[in-house]
Amino acid sequence: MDTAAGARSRTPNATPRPPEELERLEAAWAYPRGIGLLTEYNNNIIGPLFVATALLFFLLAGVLALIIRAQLAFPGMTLVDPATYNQVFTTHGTVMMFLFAVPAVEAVAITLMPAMLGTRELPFPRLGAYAYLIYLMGGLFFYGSIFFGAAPDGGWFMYPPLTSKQYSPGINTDMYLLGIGFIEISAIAGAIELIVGILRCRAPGMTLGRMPIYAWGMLVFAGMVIFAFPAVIIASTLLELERAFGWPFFLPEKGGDPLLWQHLFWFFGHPEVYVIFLPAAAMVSMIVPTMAGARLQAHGLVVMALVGTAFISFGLWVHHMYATGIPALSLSFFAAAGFAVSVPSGLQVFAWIATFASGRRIQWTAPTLFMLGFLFIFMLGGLTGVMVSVTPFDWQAHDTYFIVAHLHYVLIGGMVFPLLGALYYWAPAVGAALSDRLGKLSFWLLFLGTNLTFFPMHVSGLMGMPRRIYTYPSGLGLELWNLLSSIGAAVFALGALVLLVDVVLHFRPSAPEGQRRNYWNAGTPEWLENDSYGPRSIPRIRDRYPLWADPHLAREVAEGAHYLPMAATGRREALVTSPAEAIPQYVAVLPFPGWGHVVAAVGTCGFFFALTGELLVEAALFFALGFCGVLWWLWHGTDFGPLEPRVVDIGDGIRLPTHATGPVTHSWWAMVCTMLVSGTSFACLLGSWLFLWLVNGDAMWPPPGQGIPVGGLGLAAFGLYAGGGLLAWAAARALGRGPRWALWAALGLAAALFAAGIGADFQALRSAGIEPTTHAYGAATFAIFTWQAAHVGITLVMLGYTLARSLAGRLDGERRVTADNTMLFALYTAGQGITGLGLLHLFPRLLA
Amino acid sequence: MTAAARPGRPVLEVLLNALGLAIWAAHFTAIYATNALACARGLANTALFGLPFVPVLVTAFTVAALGGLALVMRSALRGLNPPLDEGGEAEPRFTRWFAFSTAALASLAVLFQGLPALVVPPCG
Repeated sequence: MDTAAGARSRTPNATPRPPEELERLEAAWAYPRGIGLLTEYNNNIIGPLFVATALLFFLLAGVLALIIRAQLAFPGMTLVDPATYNQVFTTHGTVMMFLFAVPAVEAVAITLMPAMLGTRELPFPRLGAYAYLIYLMGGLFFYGSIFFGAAPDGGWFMYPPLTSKQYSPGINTDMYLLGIGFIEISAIAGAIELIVGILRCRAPGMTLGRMPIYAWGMLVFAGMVIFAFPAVIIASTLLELERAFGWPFFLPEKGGDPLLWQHLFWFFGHPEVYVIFLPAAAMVSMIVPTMAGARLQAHGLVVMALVGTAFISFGLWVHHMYATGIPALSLSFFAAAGFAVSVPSGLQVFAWIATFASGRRIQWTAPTLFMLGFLFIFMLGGLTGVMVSVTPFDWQAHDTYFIVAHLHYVLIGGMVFPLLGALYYWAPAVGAALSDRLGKLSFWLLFLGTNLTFFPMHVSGLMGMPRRIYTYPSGLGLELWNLLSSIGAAVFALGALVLLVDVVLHFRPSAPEGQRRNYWNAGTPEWLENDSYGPRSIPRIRDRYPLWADPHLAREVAEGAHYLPMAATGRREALVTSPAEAIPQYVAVLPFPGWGHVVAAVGTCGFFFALTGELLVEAALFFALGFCGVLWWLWHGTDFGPLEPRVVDIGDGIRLPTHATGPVTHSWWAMVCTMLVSGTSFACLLGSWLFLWLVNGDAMWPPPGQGIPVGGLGLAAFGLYAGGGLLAWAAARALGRGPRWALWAALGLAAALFAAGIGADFQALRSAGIEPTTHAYGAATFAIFTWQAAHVGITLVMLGYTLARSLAGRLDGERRVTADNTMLFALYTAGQGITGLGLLHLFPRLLA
Repeated sequence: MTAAARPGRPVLEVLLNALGLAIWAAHFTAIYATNALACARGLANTALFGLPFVPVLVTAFTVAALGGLALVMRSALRGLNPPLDEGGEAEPRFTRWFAFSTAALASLAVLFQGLPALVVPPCG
């Protein structure tokens, strides 16, 4: 790439633009017709559908909440029996957390982020569409289970031993472990898409310092998903292994420990609260400046607060385990972290208040009311949060309705109100505006309903009412508080109904004639003209609020006067920029819509559904279908190689390639993110092994009858993994330099080394008498081995796929993204295997 | 704006700005692991240099972490003054301020977490 020297013009490109340029752009981004529309991944379609689906689950889970409140309205009610009640409250919590809250914030991001970053599309749009499809199908299946008595019934955090095979023999628990576990794949897929999109697809000039605060919030969200969600996936996998195959991770009589589940679950579960709250807080930081007509005060501190909260939230998981007998000093570490995390949250609150205070003319609209409601309700939830982070207080309030009140104040105040405010605020950016009058009515009903429902729960909780009871006797003084809560729930439901009516009556996917594009006179790029192809040209950004700083920007962008106003290759494209300073680097070519990701989604869902019902043959068939879908998707939709023209002038004299390889590519970045997910999961497995060692004591680790893995075989596995990884690396390095047969030989040999490595790894365990069902030592050891075996399997598939690409003439020195990704994953697998060998072989020998 | 990004530099620089929070994470892991190990293996009453095992180690980790954080803050403060030419349109004040403020928050958290070891019995 090179840059033309010389004076900078007013705009990057001259206008008027040639008329055929827009036609070509429209043709590239035209939606497929008929049933083909199902294959479309455009965020303008997937995003609103994603939001609508999340709101549907909000309503469905809300119906369950109404059943709960109806049951508890009076003492001794028999509206639902105790077993059904267990399923109702578990499904309510699970759906709200996993199928509404997390997907909703991700959905809003997929809808808005491209426009907010000034890009045409996120870099992996089919991954986003795949994430949506598995969420939709998996979510409906999960929710449907309650109509068949098959919904989970152990509470949304599903503690063993209540959820062990002995006490939960049906498929209810499996529905949670498999159903929710795989829906988390959707969250992780979306997170990878967002991380790479936010860091690599920002409009030129949108440095990290100028990036909209919502993009910061979603970047933090996605990073947290990458590091938190693997813990719950691993926890679910371990419990399912125990239930299905008798691997005793959580059975104390066999060396397991139920507390391991709590550690893993809450290592995910507490950050989860911030996973939900931080994007919502970032929405507030976008809406408040617009409504106040002033820039966000203390922008840098708010960014710090988002990132700092995300980090410290990983030191809070034991807040949920104060009553488990953990040593007092350890508890105080977590209590102290709890105080520390309230500092950045407080900073944000003061920044919003200061922004309102600095505004010259506040717009008193529905979004403004939702923001103020959020501040009030979330503040109360935050204050009770500080109360329950004080260990002695928590011992009194633990598992009572005080906790139910606290968590609902935090989640409804911290997430639902900002989200609904965002709905009213950004609806005109996506289509037709909603009714401000109905919005205000809905707000007041929701605000009143929230406080009337949950404030009395503080009292009933402090009076000793435990959570999750299906009824209560009269005469304990709980009647009034429960009745008030139930009336409040009805008022809340009325508010939700008004909102629903407003959406049905007024929202349309396209803006009506005469609706002002920049509806609220906002300053950020999502209010630029936006079509199926995104903005007509990619804006040059010079300010945090570019629309306020440059009144001509919207017109110039719409006229095509900014960057890349064309479809240079005749295909869909996105401009890839550098992560810190958003310097243009290359023009990425995106795939056209295709069926691959749709088939992959159907296969993925079918596989997990069948597995839940223990239909193994059907599960294998769906697995094969999903696998073929993924291969089809990759074969036709990735690694296009150099296309004509090879270099394009995007404006300002900046000439960029339309093809790139190596660490600069967005594909490389996504692979690194994938490796981080795998690495975090693996770290959870290593941590589980060490935890069980700690609770068992050296004398039982290994237990009698089992030994330390055989060292010689471990050494052989070490050499084979290292050799396989190095060979894959060498093959990728030599690509295009030597004869093709040498590449094929290297790939084949690398595959053979990995296969031999996992064989030696396995033999080292079996020869030492280690087996997974008699003691937690064997179970934890085999869990690490199985994880490695799965990675070796994927590596073999990738090596084979790379070989096939080469045989088909789709791989060479320039067209090499496939080989680079395979190399990265092979190196990761080798490193992971060696790390695992180090723990399983060296650690016990060091202790001996 | 130039089109040429210098290879290999920006990612590391961005990550280095979060060094303060990484130190917080390392400190938290170290003190939690120390106390868990001490209680699980009955080391709580063991003496280290004639002093109680857990408070000494936790204090040592805390002092080390605070020292590291002080260095991060000092480096960030120095970077705030001179105008930095990073080639593109980065805002060095923004990144340096970010590094400083996150390190300050981390210092507060580290101090909060380290102090209880002086008053709370390790395995009580």
